[in-house]
Amino acid sequence: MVSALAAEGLHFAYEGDVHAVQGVDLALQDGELLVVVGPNGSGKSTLLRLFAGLLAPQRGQVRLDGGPLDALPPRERARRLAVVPQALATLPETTVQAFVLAGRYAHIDRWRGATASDHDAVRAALAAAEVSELSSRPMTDLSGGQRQRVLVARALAQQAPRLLVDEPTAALDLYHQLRVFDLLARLAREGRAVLVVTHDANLASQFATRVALLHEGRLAALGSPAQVLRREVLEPVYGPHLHFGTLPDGAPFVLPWMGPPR
Amino acid sequence: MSRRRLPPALLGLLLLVALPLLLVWSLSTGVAGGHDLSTLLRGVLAALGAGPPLPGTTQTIIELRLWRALTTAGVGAALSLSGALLQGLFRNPLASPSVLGVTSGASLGATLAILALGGYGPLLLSVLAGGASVLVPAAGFLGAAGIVSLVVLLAGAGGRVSVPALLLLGLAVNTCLAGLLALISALVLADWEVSRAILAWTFGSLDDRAPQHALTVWAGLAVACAAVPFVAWELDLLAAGEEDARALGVHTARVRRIVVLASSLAAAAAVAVSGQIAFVGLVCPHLVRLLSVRSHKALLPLSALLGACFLLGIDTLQRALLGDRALPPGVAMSLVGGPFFLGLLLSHRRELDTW
Repeated sequence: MVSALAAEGLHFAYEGDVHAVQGVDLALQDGELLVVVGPNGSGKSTLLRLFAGLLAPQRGQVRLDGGPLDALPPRERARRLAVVPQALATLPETTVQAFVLAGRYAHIDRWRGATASDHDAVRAALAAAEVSELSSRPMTDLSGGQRQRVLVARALAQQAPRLLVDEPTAALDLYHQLRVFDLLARLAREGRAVLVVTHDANLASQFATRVALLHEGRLAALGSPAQVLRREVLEPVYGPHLHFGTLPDGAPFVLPWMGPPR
Repeated sequence: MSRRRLPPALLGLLLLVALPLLLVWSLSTGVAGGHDLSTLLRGVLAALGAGPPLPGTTQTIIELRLWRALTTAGVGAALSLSGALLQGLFRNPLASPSVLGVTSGASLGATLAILALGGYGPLLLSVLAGGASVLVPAAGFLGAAGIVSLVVLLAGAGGRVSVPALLLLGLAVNTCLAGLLALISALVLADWEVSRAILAWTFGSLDDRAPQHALTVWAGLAVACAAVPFVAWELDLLAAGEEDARALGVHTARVRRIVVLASSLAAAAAVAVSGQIAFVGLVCPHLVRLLSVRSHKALLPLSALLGACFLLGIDTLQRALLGDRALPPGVAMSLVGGPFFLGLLLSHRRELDTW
């Protein structure tokens, strides 16, 4: 079976830096939510940007539906692969509606402008991300949680079957963290291939199909949440101050704990 | 959050009404006195080859003023459009053709061409060139495009240039170019013909403009305008960040190339017919954003339109007030634009202080 999105032997180093990503092989299937976790500087965000085609790997390559990703023109790539960034460099002074319409860039003909089907896609995306009631609000007025959901809505408007999501819960309270992951899990169940990069192993535990643990630019573990979120796997990466437990439904959780080391 | 802003369509309409009125005012303003509307109309028609010329000096006076007015409006539009494009490209409200040294680059290119034509360069080049009317503006364009490309290169991959970095870059580029221009002027000081041609280019003038001046600037402007539909939405998307725009499917490298070429062409066309006129490219896009709109689809054409009205208005106003002691356009614009630039800098104090 051809993977939706596959990294083959990816290497990337920033200028004058140690290798951010060194020799990662990782394939993403349609219908799965793959969560990449790892400590700060483990190469998570770099890996996401490589998967998105925003960085060019120094060695190895990314394949989209079996074909090389870097051979696709930008518009074609954007129709098949959408990115939800962690934050924007500058918040545009537009309404939520106009902002989400930018997700249609790769679909809209320069001379015809946005058509009814584009506006339908925007409406559907706003509804799916549960931000329809914000559509006429200016982007600069939104709370962190609202902004995150609007960023997801813009990626949904892109109607790409593959979704790459960077730290979607970094600025969110507990309730909104759940809501965002619930939405991403639903998108995966609907058949999309969703890759999420996050610090939050516990959300990964509840929602991920598979978890990938990245450590110093290498894949340290890959498997179901129960396989990866274990002391033997996490302690070499995060150190000994960890407390493990089990949620009512049997999923593992892990907390940072300053208690006496074992 | 919202201050009341003019709808872009209304601002466009106001400017479209203002431009012909300013043209008529400009045509009836001058040392030789004014004319009534029907005389003006017949004179303009005759100048365009659609009617008999007016008797005496009237026809000559109207034609001189017509080419001057059309050139001035075109120069204002071209500089303002160039400024709006550069501000979008570098995501920096202080970018403009003169601040970045683009107009100086055009001057240097043109100066080198004048030297070549004056016999200082390869003789073959001067023979091939035939007329200075093509070679000099073309060399000016190359100079302008060279400077914009240089700034793009120095700006690095991210594309966004902070205010302090932009000012320092502009300062460095302008200093280098001024040095080179001064060196060339010093070397050819003895050759009166070449010196005069270079001086005319460097300081510029809107006096004694002929049809080819108006044609040159409007042709450059037209080509630059043709680029607008290919970059307007893209520049809006770039404002949120280079990577974000790429993820949405924007071919950012191509957008940058088109903007570099269009802004250089517009600036060079303006410099080719009027010399360096500072600040139009800074002030006008800023006013459009302040009064009405930020989205480039409206900002770019409105900036061009406002630039035409603005320079034509200022030029006519100072001719009406000062008569035959009217200032060169570059000087007049500096008097208006210098304080405006200072004000802009003060409003960016915080960004400068934290740097």
